[in-house]
Amino acid sequence: MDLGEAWRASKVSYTELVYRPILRSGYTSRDMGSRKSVKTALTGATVNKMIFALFTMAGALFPFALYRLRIDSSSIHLTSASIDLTIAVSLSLLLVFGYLVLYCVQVLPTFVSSGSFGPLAQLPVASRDVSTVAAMTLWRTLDYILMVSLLSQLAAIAYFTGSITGTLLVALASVSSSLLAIGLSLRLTSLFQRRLEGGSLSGVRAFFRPLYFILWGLGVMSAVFLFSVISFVAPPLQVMLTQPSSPEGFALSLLLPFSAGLIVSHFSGQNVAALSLVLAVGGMAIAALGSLGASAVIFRTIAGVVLPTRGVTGEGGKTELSFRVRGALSAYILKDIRVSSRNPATGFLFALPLFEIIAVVVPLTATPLVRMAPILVGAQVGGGFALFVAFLLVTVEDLGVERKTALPFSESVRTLSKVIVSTAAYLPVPVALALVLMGKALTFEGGAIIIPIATAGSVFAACVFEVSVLKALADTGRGTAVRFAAGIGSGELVLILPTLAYAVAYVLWHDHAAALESFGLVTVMELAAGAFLLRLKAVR
Amino acid sequence: MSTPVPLVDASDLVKDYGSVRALAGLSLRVMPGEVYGLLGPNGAGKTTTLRILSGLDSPTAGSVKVVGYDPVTEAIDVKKRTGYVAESAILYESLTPREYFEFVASTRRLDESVVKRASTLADVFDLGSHFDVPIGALSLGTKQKIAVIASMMHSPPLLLLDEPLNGLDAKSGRILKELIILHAGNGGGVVFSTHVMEVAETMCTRIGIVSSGRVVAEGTMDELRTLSGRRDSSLEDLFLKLTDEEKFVADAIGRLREDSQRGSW
Repeated sequence: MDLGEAWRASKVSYTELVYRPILRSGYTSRDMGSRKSVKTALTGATVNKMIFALFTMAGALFPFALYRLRIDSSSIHLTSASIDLTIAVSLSLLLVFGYLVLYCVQVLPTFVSSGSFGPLAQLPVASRDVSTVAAMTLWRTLDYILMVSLLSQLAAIAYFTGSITGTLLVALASVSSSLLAIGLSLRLTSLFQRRLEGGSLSGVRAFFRPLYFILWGLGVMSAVFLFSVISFVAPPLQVMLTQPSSPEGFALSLLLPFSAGLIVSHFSGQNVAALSLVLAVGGMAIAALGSLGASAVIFRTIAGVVLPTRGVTGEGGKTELSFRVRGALSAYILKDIRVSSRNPATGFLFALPLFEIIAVVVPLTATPLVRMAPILVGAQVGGGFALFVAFLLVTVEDLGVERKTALPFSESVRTLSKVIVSTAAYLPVPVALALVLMGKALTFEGGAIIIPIATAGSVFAACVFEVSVLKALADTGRGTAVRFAAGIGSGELVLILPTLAYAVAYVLWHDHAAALESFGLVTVMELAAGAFLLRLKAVR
Repeated sequence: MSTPVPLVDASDLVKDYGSVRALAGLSLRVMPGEVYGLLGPNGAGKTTTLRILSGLDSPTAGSVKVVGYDPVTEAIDVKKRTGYVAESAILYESLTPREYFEFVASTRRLDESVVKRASTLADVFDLGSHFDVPIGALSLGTKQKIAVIASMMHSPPLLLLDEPLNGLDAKSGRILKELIILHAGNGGGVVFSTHVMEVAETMCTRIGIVSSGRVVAEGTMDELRTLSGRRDSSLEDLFLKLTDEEKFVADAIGRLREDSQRGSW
């Protein structure tokens, strides 16, 4: 098979990849079964990719925007936003790396399990050719995101430095970083696939699974949510990078995003210590070699991952053929947790509670006097994570499985299960806030802990609305990006209302107690609306 | 003595998918104790019929009652009283059979006695060595066994089986056939679609031949023979005649034989 044939074959595989999940989801429309439905699916996938590409572009350019701010306001004291070129390049690469891993782990399970490459496996095609077609299909899946992130970073460097060498180096760093992200995601997906094919899910591996998720989940989430804590992260990183002889400075200078940042800064005429530069060149060389290795891994493993496997036989011996009958809701919750913990696309959600604690608590630790605003914002951020959990829970299971399964679920059980798990993911926030606020001066002692606790009610209601919107959209066959925006957006709208009520009441009466009452009133109304919606679903 | 209530009572069902008409006035009635076989060419509307009966899809027009309930407005009541096996087993592939049965039994709110029934079914289908293996890793036939057990564990009055023998080996196929006969013998009803004429011929108390979204002929084997005017025909011959495909098949075979004689094969 020559490259032209492989490229054409990859178009067929890509179309299958896009169309099969829609068919399997049980989505039926007027066009279903016609050529138009395939075109509609392809258009939806393109829109999906474009939206994610825009997110990635924003992530890639955000550190440069802060760098630009620093240039414009060099005479003004602007510590929180002040970052140098090294950090701007490094964080841009790191953010794109995080986005890419997150996107890949969402996409690759479908890529692996869709069966899109099954027909190819039945033809007399060599394994190497299957790899080529699969790699090209993967490119078609990621093309917009990879191109947009690369071009954004190149344009930013060219604009700010005017250095051709610097721009070429960023190109090398960006490509290397992307290959490493794809290689890592593919490795992770194949690990899960092997585990699912490998037999028993119990035992030692089951014990280490949560730890594994927390470790890598924290890493990716840190990169993805970096932009929201950039002002806290950038200053210590800058200090570390100016001290290459210290252990942390030494290690950072060797690591890819920072090594690239240091070299680009040097070629752009900025002052970089000689030791830093030597380390950075070594780090870039290691990263380039690593990315070559990643490409080889991608090419070598991709065929093995995408081709259908034969069924396995379990371990022999006498097995106790029994199981436990639970309550319907607890069984559904357990199923949701089991299904999501066995999928790399959602496994990292188990790291979210830990991450949200860090994200909520860190901004408060340095302040001796805590005002109400950071507490309100902290509760909002924690609630936002819960909405993210709900989105992942709805997305992970093939919605069609639920709708096609001839089991007597009511909509309320389906919704409530996801809402309970998501709200539970928020609960560490009030606990962490209570601990961090102990011994701190507060502007309004009464509200400081009541607000995060009361927000749990708002989170519950917001998740009910979000899951309802997501379920409704599932019947329209919309892409992930549209569902993400609509689902999280509707949840955020509900989540923010009590805070808005607090703000409006405070502006009107300058009284925290009155503002708290408004907050509570809106929360109770939201809870009632959520309960009403669940009740409506119970009769369906 | 009161007349038994039909388990399925569908009349003039129409189902449109956009411009495609999948069902065009299909009527069907199944009584307790009956094994009703749906036979028809590919795309005749068998799967659509079973999906509507199980409350997974709604008809564009027509009326239907399943175990006394309307599957459109009372889908949950229908699902409680039916067991459905889809053409391709629809299962949570990351769960093990043990976890899946636990999920199905719990969400159906069954009592502990279901464990014994499901264990017996798992044992007779020789599922023991697969009980803790993720379903996604199992063969098509094993997945089909899991789907069959899940559809029967609550002892529903009506089984709706879409090509239930798909992927099953001879041993499991034989056991499933026996289970179907036992179910009907105990007063339950079964509606199943199949392409295997021998299965329909030996198991069904009545057969409905579906073509272009309608039941074109219905009855026992003897009644179908009378209807076609061929007393000694096999079900395959009757099927081809009643679906107007006899001439098409004869022409196609004729062409193939001619090509073969000319050495084109």
